Amino acid sequence: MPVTLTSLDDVKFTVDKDVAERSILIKNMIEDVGESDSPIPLPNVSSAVLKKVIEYCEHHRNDPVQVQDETDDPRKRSNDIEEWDMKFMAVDQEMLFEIILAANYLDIKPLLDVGCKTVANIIKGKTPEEIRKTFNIVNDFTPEEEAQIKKENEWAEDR
Amino acid sequence: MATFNPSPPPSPLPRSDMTLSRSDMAALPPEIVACILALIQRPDIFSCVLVSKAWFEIFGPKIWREVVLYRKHSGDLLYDPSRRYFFQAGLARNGHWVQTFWSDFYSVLDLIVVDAPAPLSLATSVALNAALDSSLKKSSRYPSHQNPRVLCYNLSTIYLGDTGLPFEPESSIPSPSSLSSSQTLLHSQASGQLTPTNLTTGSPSPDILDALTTMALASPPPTVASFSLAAHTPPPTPPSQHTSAYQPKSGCVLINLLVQVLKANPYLKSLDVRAPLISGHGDDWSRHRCAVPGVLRKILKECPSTLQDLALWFPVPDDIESDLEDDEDMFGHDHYTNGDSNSEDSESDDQPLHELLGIMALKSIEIVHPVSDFYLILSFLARCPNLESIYLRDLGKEFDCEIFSSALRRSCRQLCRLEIDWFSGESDQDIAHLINSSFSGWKYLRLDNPDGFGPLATRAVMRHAHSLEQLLVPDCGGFHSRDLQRFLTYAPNLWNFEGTTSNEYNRMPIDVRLSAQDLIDSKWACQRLQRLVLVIDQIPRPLIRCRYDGRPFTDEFLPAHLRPGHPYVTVAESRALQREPKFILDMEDYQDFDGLTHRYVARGYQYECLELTLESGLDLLAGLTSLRVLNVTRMAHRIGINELEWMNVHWPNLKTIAGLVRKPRLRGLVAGEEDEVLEDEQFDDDEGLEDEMMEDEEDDLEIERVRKWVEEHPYGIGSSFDALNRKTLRF
Repeated sequence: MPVTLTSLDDVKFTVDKDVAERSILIKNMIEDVGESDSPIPLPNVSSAVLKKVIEYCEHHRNDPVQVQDETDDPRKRSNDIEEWDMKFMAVDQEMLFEIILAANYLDIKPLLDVGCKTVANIIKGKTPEEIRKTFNIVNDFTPEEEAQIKKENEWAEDR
Repeated sequence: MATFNPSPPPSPLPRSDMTLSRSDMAALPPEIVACILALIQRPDIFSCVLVSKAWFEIFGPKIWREVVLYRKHSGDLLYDPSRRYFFQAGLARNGHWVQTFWSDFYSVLDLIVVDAPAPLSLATSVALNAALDSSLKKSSRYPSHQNPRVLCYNLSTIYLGDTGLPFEPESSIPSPSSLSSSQTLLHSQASGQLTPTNLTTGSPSPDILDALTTMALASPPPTVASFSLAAHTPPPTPPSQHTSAYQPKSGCVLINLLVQVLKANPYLKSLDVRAPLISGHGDDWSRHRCAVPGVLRKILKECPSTLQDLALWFPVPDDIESDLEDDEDMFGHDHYTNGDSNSEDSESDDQPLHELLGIMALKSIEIVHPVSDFYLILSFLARCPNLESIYLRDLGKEFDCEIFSSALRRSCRQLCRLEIDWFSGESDQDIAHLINSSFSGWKYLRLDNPDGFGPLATRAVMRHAHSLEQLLVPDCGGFHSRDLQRFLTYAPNLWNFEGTTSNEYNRMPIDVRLSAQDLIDSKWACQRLQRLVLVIDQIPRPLIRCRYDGRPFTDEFLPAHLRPGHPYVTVAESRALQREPKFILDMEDYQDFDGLTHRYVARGYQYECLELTLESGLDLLAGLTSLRVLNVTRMAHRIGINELEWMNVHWPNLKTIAGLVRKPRLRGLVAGEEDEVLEDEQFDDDEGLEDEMMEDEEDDLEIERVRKWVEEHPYGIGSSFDALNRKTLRF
């Protein structure tokens, strides 16, 4: 049975129930409310982002439920992004962060993980200036402050 | 798409303009940031900190949460005045984040205690100048610590290791107050306004760098948006090297620093100090030595009530260890309090023992010092009712095992772990007393080489058979085989037993051994036994012939145990996996390969021990029907096809023989069979036995030949000696 989702800008998406239930939030909503034709409002997600998220959920609709393995070293895991996911995440920074926020809000753990890994991979090995460029961040330190912080944290620079 | 601006304007925008962007890290909820943080490592975090103020706020705490300084870093920080200054400045700003302070260079303690002038917050330039004046006027004598200020006050873990650097006695420390190397006022304001700073990057003024550091930190700690560098900050880089070289502190000073740190950290959970806090050279030692009880008391007194793990190791320099015998008459505690101008509690040395409070939370304790005050420690332990684990070492002559035991039985009823190293002449009775000191029964007991171990101690161990989960008595000569067998019959919870790790060839005869028949016939209570390290005897050891360059080598040169006729000795490791006992037999030559054997090999000799052949009594082990793994990686073995076929019949569960292919240098050589070109082989049959034999693949060519040979001779015959020992030995 299809489910209708309404985005922030009032665009309606109709998806299969099993796709929508990739989101634990929606799954819980459906369970609480019961079968209903009325659309589910998602006031925190814009249509552009919701479209992307649905694309992800459609692709992963048959994935087994993620098992939590806490024992894994998280550092190792940052490299193991599936190829499809990697392409899926090849979006501009704003969209990337929007997807992460939406995944967090909708409680889609695998998508959130992929998002975090993507961000981590972007940061890895970059100089501060490169990070600023990538994320379009303005350096709001005064030169003195920057020098000071650099010096203060120097001990942590390599290990 | 976000607007892309590759070259942002140099002048900073107002902060709100950036943080409101949804594409910034700052827009992410903290739990997501934490998730990202877990995926990147420290150098990357360091880059993140420098990106912007918002990022600094996000990532700064992560960097400071664990201050882990390896020796090189510690040395840099201590000896390079510039780095020292900036580290302390950073610590002043971020000290509240620091939960772990770890260094293997104990002098770093000096970095987290600074001497601050009295009024700290909102220091005006007048106050600053006054502070500078007074600090410049200060005598060269170190330290003052009139107003010690500890920069970390939320610590839960402190580890200070010992690098073994020599340290001068306090009196010889030259003047420049090493507490600081440069002077600055780190001034933070709650107002949140960025004050203009005239910090310049110009050349330093060494005379100012020499002055005492003045650090001020308003509380609560500011966020990045509100920190400011006061106008008086001197240019910190690069300092002149000669002016303010760091001088290591003597132990006395470090103890005072430690006390300050303890006072400032009421939530400490783990304190681990392995440093010569009490140091001395030559004649000074006797004085230091007498100060030990006072120092211990001083530290114990300051330990916060939340402390759970305490380890205090005070190593003694080698050259004075021999002087520790006498000198009972000196009580010069003042030696260490002299330097302590802040010692309002120096009179505590005279307080009776009962004023020493215990620590309710304490669970484990290690106090190691050759002249520790027995009654002091005892009275302290007796006030720690929740103590679970004790580590003792080198008990010393004033250690009264009987009193100790009865006190612990009475006071520390949770005790379940005991470790003792370096026994020195304790009697059987003493050891028995120590073993009897647990009220509820030991779960873990490790007695390293207890010479006096005898019938009384054995009986004491037997009494704990029911609770013991791990019993480690390496090189324990007095634990007889029959008692061992009995113990294994009574110990239902045991999963780890270690009877020998013998690695010195002139050891006393080892009696913790099982006969092969014992191993097979055992009806042990311990169903969960995972590890059993023992000598197995009763398997006759064949003749051993060593060779040097192919020539026969006479037996007299060999240590006694390697001579022919010595019982065949191996260390066996058995592991019961889950319910059904399935053994892993880990055969090892009597000698540790890092010890004697290695030396032998290194001199160009090879010995061979024909263990696990049918003619040397392999069939004695026929009852081990559940053997799953046979590990012969550390043996120069000879397992031929006869043996393999025998194993196939008698050990149907055997899946793996590790070590059929071994390092060339560990291979054996058999007299009289030199001309035979023989290969290692793999046990590989129809039951799909696992191929785990390639332990060391350094010789691909050899392994390739072995593979080929195995393929050609799936059930080949002959022995497993290789031909390589006629080549030049490689080490």
